[in-house]
Amino acid sequence: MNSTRAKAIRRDARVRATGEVRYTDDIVVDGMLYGVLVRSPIAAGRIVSIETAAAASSPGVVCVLTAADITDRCFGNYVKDQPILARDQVRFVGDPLAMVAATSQSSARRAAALVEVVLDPLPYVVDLALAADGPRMVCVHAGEDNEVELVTIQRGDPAGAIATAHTTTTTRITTQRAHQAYLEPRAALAIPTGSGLSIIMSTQQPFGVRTAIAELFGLPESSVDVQVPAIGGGFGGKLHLGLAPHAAAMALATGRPVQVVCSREEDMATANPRENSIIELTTAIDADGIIRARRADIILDAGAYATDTPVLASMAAFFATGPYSIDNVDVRARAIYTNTCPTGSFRGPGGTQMVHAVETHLDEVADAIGLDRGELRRRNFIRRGQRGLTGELMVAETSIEECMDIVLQRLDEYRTSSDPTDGRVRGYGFACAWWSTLGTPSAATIEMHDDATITLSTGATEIGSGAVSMGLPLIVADVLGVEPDAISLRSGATNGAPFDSGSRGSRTMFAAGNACVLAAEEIARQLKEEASLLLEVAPADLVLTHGRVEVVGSPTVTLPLSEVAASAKGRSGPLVASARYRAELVPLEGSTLHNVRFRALGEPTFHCHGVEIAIDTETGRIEVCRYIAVHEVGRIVNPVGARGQVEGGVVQGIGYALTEHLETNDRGEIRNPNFVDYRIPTILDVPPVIETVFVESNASPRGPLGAKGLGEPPILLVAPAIGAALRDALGRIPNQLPFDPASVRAIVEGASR
Amino acid sequence: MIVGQPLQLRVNGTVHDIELEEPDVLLIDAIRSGCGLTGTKLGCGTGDCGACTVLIDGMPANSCLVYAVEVVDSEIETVEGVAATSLGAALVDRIVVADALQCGFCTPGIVVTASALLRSVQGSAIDDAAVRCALAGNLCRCTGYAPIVAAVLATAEVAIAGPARGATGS
Repeated sequence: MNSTRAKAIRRDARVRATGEVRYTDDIVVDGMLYGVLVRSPIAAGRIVSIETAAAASSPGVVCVLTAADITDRCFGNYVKDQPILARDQVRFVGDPLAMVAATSQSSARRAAALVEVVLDPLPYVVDLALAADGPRMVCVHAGEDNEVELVTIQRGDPAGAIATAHTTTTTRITTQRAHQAYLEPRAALAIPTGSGLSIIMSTQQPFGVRTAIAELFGLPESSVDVQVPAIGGGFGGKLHLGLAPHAAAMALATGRPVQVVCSREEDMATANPRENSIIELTTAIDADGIIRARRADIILDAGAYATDTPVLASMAAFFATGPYSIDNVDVRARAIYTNTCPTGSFRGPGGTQMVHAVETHLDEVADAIGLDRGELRRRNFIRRGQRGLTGELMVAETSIEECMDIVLQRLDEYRTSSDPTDGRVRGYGFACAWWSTLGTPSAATIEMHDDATITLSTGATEIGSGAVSMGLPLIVADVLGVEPDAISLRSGATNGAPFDSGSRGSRTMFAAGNACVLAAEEIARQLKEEASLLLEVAPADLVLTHGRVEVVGSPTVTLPLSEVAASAKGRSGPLVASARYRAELVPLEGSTLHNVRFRALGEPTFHCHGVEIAIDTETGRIEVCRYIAVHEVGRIVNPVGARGQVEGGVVQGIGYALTEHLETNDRGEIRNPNFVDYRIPTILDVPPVIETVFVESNASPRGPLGAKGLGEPPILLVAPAIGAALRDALGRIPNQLPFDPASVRAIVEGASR
Repeated sequence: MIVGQPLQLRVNGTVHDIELEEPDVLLIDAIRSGCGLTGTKLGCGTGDCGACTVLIDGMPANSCLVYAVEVVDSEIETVEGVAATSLGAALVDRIVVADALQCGFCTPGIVVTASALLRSVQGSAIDDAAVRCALAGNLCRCTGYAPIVAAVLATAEVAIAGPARGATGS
């Protein structure tokens, strides 16, 4: 690693800080119209009529569309169940019914208010448990079961193990909806191009949008291009199609560019938040603290349409055991339709509530058999050579114990250095987790020019983490022995770079990085082949370093890359290489899997967080005082960016643990679609320091420069660590999230009775 | 304001004539659409996130809560103006070095708010608590805030040590 550890500066940082960079809402094109959606005010109803004449004759209006005017194809990544506009029936408060395109935003809004919709209310269900197992089932999709997806994982003989175990403990936890709360509301701009469409959109996966829009509107994929300007945060919430189908339908109907930008309220009420869930875990354990069996029953709220929840059900099922070796497993996870806003991915999707549930449950198991919480984990951590619940072999060392030991030692120091004089109760807790790095497809093209500068074209999307703008150039620079500044980056448009699966699954540095490594290695091979002719030295004896080709052992025999690149072009052709990457599928053994879409970690990563909290027992308010986050994610390529991922993820986790709850009332309306009532952490709500430690003893042999993924894990452990600290202080904790003052007060009152 | 006549707004030292479709145009819309200055971001529209912060006669304000007609007699500074000052440029430098942004959508508002703080204390020391208090109305969902505090404190040190240097290349 010659350049990767240097304190590099993110190339796109300055223009973001000064406001020069353009987000979707900043882009205005000639003839552009503004689109506004008309949404259902009720949770379920038959559409009796939609009267658009008044809206259509309103000043500035160019078109008003209802389902009758557009394609009847539906969209959805796994289940194609969602129409662009409701046809016959609405299924949640906010289901789009009509849309208006006008010459100004205010004209469009005024006209939208003039669309007269008559709905005949239908029975609806907003309660997850009722929708899943209620006595009188209301079907969200007429004639269909509410079960979107059923996933099961079975291993060993769980029933036998539970029947014969020393102790059996059951924990039931419910978790809330949480909005990604990206600062930039969702936005899309569709531009008709004659043969197809150009979409400019704040999206985490432009290639997925391209495929879906082409399918929906019957266009060849090659005639749709998706361009991603700067993205103002996503955290999974911009993996979904969002407003692209609506902008596209209006653009095709009018022949003009149409931009649709959500208001904050509309975004929070109608986007795809983290699903609420009900989780029941049972563990059978021996007297010596060895876990014999785990049973899990998980229900996830899909909302009215499936979106990502089929795969989220798989992820929830997968994370029902955590980084522990358990021979006997019986997991069932279901995604269930309700008449509520469709849910979807949010950083650590499907897993964040599971890590909370599993770690909280383990604390109860430890208490039940009177064993130290750290010791229980130590006796059960999964080790190299053992298999996870789906039958995945741990081929490398598992470093979870090393992570936990660092946290436990630091918590001891917190305890002894704390001197509470403010009357608040202190509590100390920790939590452990494993996570994966998605190895889904990616491709890259690299060209080296005559002056040895480089153009890197990648389909990967810069979500804000710096993985693309900083990480990928660092990786290519390392392979080619040049400075990152020598590399210009072309990314963020489907017609300017080859395919990538999108910013998701902690995968960009790993999967897009691997495609970049493979392409860069081919450029290195071409360079050495040419230099070998020029220097009359075998290619194997050449090395690329400091912008030159050198002969190994004779550093004075050297050529600048520019000379080699120019010579190569004249002799054998320009220096260019494309490469593609897909992680090898992981062989599984010994488990019975049903509908499991997420089958293996691939690149397991290990994590432990510890926290000191102060509890005001009078108000029930929790303050996070000190925090340590330990992560084993292979080698760290970009230390500053990695630290930023941890600190940002921990703070999002604090919000999830303490304040964030997107509340649906019994009419299916979102009660708090704003930043006052939906409270994300402010600068005054976070600990002054989040200690970040990277354990780098376990470089990935398959990751670029030994790296694994980091984006998601930091959010996973915060709620269970705070929960453990709360248990440490009060003896028990609420069985639901978030730990808001009311629920903490209820525990305090219960404890004092 | 006289109906039918363009509104005159003084933004970053330049007078802009803005044609109002309606009298209730918000300052943020006048700045973004009327002046074409898109560095000011609309994050919530309810004054809760601070992404639209501008300076009105030197004081930070949420431009999504102010009508354009209310500030015709005021001096407006947006992130474009603030970043062009030596203090603003020094702050931007330190934000870049501290990796104090990720998606960057909240950053212009933070640059504006923090600049107002730095101007108000120029020549005297500030601490962590003062920075956090000043930025309590600016939400950031990406960074966890620590590097933002560090960048503002580092800028304050420079401001105390001597005239802030201009922007250096990245």
